[in-house]
Amino acid sequence: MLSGCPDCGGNKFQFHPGSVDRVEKQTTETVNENPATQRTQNPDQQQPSTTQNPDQQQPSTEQPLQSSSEATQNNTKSGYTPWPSQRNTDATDSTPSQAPDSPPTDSPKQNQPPSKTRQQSTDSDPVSDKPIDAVTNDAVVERSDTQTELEAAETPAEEDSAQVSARTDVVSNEELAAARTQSDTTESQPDEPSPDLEQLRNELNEQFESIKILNPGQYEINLMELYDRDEYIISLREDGRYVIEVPDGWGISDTDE
Amino acid sequence: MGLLTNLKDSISKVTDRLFSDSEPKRIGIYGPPNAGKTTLANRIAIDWAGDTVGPESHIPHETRRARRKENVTIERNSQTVTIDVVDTPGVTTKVDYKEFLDHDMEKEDAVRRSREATEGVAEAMHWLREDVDGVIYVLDSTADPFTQVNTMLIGIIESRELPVLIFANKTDLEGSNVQRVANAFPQHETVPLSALEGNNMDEVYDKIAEYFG
Repeated sequence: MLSGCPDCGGNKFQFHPGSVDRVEKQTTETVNENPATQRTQNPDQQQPSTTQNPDQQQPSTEQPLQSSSEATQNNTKSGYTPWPSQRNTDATDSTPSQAPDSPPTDSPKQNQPPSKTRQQSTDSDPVSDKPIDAVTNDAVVERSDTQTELEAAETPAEEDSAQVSARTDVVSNEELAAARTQSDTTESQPDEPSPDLEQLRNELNEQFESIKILNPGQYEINLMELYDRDEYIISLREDGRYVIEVPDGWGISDTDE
Repeated sequence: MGLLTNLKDSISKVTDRLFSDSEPKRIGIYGPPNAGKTTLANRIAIDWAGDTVGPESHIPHETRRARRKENVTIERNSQTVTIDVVDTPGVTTKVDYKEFLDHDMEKEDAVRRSREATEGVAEAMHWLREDVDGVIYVLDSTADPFTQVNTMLIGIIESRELPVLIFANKTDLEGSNVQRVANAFPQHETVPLSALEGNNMDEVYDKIAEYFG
């Protein structure tokens, strides 16, 4: 994944692979100097990312494939430049050797419109406002630079309303839990009726079946049903049919017709 | 003197049969597979009729058709009781041919035996509904009596208000636990026996005469 350089004016990025060691050796030595993507990041954006709640790191775990592919595309422009954080023991700890040990702190710093990451963060934890506010303000500041920034800026506008809503209408944990339970049940309802009906039918069939032929030579026997039946099953056929003996007077009306 | 006594007894037996108020009672020998039903039936038949009812085997479901030995007269304490002994196939809720494969049986034979055993269960249930006047329920006293089949069959027998005796068989085996059988069905009398060894058969015949005479 790519992480911004906080001391380079937002135009330096370094790839941190996360969990893939083999890719790490190839990509951590490259520095992405693509201007289009450099400007989408602001050095200030890195600060909130390091202070974010660990829960907010979850969306970033989905990103390594994207960032690694983008980094691979930018390999032609790679040229190693001493990473400032190697000189300054910054809180971001973006030193390549330390990167695998601290992927969560680097995860939001990706070569991707920051709005997406922030949007996911907002969804994941609406209660943590401060880091998101900082990111939103930073994104608005950079709006005029590139098309990428415009795209990035549109989403923060949506985030503002969401943030306002999040701030004004704070949902309690109990309400959240209730909503989750309700959503789970409503989602499962359309799927479950058919299995239930199918199961019910099977149960009914089993109840009314005296002898159930599972496979040739394998039988399940309903003793009560056998006992209650008027007709007497004399023999079983391999095709699943019975030969029965019927009591006197059984089905007379049928035979007369 | 002895000759007169024997003659008197013989006349008494004939008159008892002639003036008995009913046909010989059909006593069905029921129970799960491999409980020793056929061994018991053969023991009774040999003791009182000089013949056997059917072949015995340690392989389950050896008896796959009900067999009847008619007019078996049992004498107890100067009383006689004549019964038709009906040896029924073992009752179960599942029959699987694979259990027969463990007894060196070819698959084709095992499948056929399984089908016939299932037909036998149907026949046993049919007899229970239509044709028996009393039940000897045989249990392997080395096995757990608390099973669905036992509970269901005893329940059916009770619902029909048939006289029933519970025989805890295989007391000659090491793991026999007669008390466990008695505890499972405390509402009925439990008689321990070994049909194979002929142990406690006097009490068996006493109870048969008492319950079905």
